[in-house]
Amino acid sequence: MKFDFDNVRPIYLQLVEQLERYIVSGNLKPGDKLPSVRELAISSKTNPNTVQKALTELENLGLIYTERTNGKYVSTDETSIQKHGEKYAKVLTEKYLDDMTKLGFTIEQAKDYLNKFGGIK
Amino acid sequence: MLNKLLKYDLKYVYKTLIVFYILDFVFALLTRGIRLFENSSLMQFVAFIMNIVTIVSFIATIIINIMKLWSRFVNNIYKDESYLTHTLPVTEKDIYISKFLSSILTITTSVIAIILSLFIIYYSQDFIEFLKTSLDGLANAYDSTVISIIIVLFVVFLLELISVVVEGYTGILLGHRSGDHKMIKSIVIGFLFFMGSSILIIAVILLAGLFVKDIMDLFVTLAPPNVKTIKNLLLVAIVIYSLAITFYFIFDIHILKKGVNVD
Amino acid sequence: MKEIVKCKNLSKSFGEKRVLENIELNIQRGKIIGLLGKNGMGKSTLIKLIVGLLTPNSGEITVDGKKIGVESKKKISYLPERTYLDKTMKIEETIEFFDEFYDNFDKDKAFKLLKDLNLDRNTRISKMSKGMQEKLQLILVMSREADLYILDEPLGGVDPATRDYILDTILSNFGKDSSVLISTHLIADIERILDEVIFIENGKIVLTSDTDTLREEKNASIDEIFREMFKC
Repeated sequence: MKFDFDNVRPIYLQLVEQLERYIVSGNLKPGDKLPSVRELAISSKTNPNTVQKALTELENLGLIYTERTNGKYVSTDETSIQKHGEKYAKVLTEKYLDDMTKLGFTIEQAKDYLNKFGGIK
Repeated sequence: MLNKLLKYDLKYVYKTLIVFYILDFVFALLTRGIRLFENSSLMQFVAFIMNIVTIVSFIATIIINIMKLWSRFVNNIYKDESYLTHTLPVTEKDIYISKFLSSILTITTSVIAIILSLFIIYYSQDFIEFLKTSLDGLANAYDSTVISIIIVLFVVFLLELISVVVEGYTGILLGHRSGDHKMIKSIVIGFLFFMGSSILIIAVILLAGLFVKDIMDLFVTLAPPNVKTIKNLLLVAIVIYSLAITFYFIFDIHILKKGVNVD
Repeated sequence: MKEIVKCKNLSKSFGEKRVLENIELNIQRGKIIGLLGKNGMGKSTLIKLIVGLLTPNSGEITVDGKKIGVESKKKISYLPERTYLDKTMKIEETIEFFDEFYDNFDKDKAFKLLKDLNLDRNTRISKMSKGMQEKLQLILVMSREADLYILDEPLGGVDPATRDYILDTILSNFGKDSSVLISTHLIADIERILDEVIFIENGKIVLTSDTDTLREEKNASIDEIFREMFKC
């Protein structure tokens, strides 16, 4: 797994986001075992405490669960993962539409452009 | 932990010293070998040169021994290596005792190596004769004194060397308590201690001379000294050196225990 | 959580020069802490006091409740800025040396880390470059199962590959309940592995904080915050 951080925002939040993306995108599939805290710390070059904090956050979000002694797994609750995917879709769509309207396009035009350049038939 | 410290202190000094011991023996053997053919003037000259080389090698052995002990002391206690020495889980006292014991041990073996080399060079008919007469006369009190005087001389020489080493340690410890010119101050202070104890010994002997006529005679007459008097003098020297070494030992540990400040 | 190191009202002078003034510091277990400051601000002096290389003029330091001494030295694994090994030794001998003196030294781990570096155990220290000697020292220090690792400027003057190697070695080898104190003036390289930061300026501690909290508060990286605070 590859991670990329800026040093401005809290590292644990960036870790949460990037792991979330791995799960939503299916790079980490439901039921997959997550690397250990230490392994994650080493591969992301961050502190184990930070990784621990990020994993706790992901667990609160319902994206991963802990199986006692065995480690952490990606949630098998696909609807929950889908919901997170939708959250990303919403954020990205809103950002697109926001940018377009700021440039003076109407929502309708924005949709048209999406069809025209987005490769959608 | 002391035995581990001592092991590494000894290893460090002997790593170099062993080379000099071998040189001492090789030169001694060569000198001995050349002496067998001393019948031409050329060979006599070669033998003369070999004698000098051997003696230089003996002196080098002692000097290297002392220098190695001092440099290890400075490096371990104040220079780069002190960052390891003082973070080992050992007491400052053990660190010092290890240096002290390694000094006594290495100096003793160096002196023994030199004596053995001398033995290699001079072991001969005459030498055996001399030894024989000494042993023959063992029953008589005078001769037994000759043997013991050799042993006492050996001990005095050892103690003298050891006190020089320890005076160096004291100089280093005191010199490094100041803020600057630590090395120069170390050398000056060490030298002052050396002078001090030498003067002390002469003073004590002179003082003894005030009360013992035989000793005073050494200073005021040209008559050959009585063997017994010399032996007594040497015994006095042994006592003073031992006291001085004990003093340095206690003093140095006291200073080290006050806490170090590395460079 | 119990403190591993406590400094109370600690001061240190060299001659007339005051290098540290009234330092109050607690180091918790299980954290990676950055001791950050420009060169000559007292970072190394503070560290040397904790490891017993210097004696304070006043104040008190305790390690796990005990004064500096044999017991504290068993608990702290210290990597100085200098190369401190006996140059006449071979690599293998230095590992044996550490194994003999430190009960918590893991010899197998040291040999394994040595193998990863492709270093021959029969190499003499005097034959190694300074950079290699520093890597060997890092291996020796991280092969101890200590309560506290203190690393003084481990990243000074190293290339990016070495920096990654050093950070990896630290992250993969420090124990669960142990802490790591890293002093550095190269903050950007290291800030993401830090739990807490201590800013030191002119011999005084001017800030201690949780790193992510500080980032959130100031909306900037630790490096930027540091530069802003100590502008020349």
